Amino acid sequence: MNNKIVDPAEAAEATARLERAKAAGCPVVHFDYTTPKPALSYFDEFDKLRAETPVAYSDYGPGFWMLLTAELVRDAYQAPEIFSSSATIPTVPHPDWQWIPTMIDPPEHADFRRVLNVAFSPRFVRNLEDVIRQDCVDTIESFLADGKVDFLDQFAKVFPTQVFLRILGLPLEHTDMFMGWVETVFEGLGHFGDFADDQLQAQKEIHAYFAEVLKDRRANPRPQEEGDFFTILATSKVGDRVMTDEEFLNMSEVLLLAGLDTVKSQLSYMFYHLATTPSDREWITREPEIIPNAVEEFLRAHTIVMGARQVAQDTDFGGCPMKKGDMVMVAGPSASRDEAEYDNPAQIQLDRKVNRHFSFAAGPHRCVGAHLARTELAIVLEEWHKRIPNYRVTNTEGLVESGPQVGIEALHLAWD
Amino acid sequence: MKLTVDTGKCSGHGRCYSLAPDYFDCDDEGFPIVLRPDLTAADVVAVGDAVANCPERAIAILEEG
Repeated sequence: MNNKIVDPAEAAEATARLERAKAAGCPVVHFDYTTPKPALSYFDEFDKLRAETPVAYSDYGPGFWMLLTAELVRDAYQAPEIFSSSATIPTVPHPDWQWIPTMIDPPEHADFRRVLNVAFSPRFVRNLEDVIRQDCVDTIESFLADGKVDFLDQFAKVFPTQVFLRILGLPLEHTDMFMGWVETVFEGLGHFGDFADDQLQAQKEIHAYFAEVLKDRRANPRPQEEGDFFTILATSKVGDRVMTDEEFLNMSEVLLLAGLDTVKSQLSYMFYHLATTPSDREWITREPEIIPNAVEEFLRAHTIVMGARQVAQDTDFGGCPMKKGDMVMVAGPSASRDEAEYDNPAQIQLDRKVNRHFSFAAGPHRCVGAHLARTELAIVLEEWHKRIPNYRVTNTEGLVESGPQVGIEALHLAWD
Repeated sequence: MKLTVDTGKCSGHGRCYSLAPDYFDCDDEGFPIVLRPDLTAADVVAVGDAVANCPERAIAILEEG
């Protein structure tokens, strides 16, 4: 992987930062999260690293600090005035995009966030549950008789995309197109070279698509009582003004990127675990009431996002001298398995009683789709196990993952 | 005993009203509303999981006085 820093000023900053970390006695690692590794390797790596230190420094790319414990991660998320969302990918301190509201700090953040909070509230999700369930059932039944499935291509990518299109009132025939864009963007994030160029191209296409949607909703607004998402968004107020076209398009793209690949990746770990752990599979089939709790446990054990924040004011955090502009990986996949908060954290216990995982981050940027994601994951576990209680993994190739948002790349399942 | 939510810390994860619907409801944006702030000793036990599961550690049970 191309890992060069071309700008000389940035290279000098990176060198100075590394020296600063070394001088402070902060353990230095080369955490290249873009390298594909066998499934679950990154979780093991985080566990090992956390056993050595609460904070590490990685010299991969321009370099970034790594917060590894639950306490530090929670504190960082809850202090946006120190840990800004101006950049959220560990290796990208100067992003040439600004996702809304993801990369907006308080207090401006709240005006944008309020619009989405209502649109993705628990009540809103509850009203959609029957439709989501039907999409899930239809997708499972499309391959049920085959006795096998390419789990990601035929299910885990398709189902969340359909849910997304349904919520937004877009044609379901666009499912394949959306799946392609999302994949390209996530292949590029945090990488360098061609992958990053393809990412920008896909982002342009997404932008153009939503520009058409906006034009249509402005020309033909849907009746308010139908609750059309884009009509509501296009007429939403940000503070005391109407949202601009640019803001509308930006938020639409963010929803697309945040809502599809995440659910797919989470499903890959859930079904890899269940396919290889008969006792938990049987438990879910026998006692479906455990499912909401099981969903939280899967989210905890396999928190998929290695998110980041950017230091907004110099701070001595966890004993490390962080300076304005530095990137900090807020390592949810590590913090959700912190021994200080959990017994046997690496072990999946479907009936675990206390669970404060960071799958949805924390602080003001807590995942706005959390209620929807939980509902989607629970519905999948229910409907799948009613129809396919026993299944096994049949592929050996592709059982690999890479970050900054990990997920198993290929998962083939079969049943009798 | 008094059940309280620190609104500065709460970010609306929704764990409390999912786990203890007798004690918490949610508003239009998904933030919790404390339904029964005054707790008996039995209530403290019943609401314990919701308190322990708050990812922001925003829920507290305060001694009155």
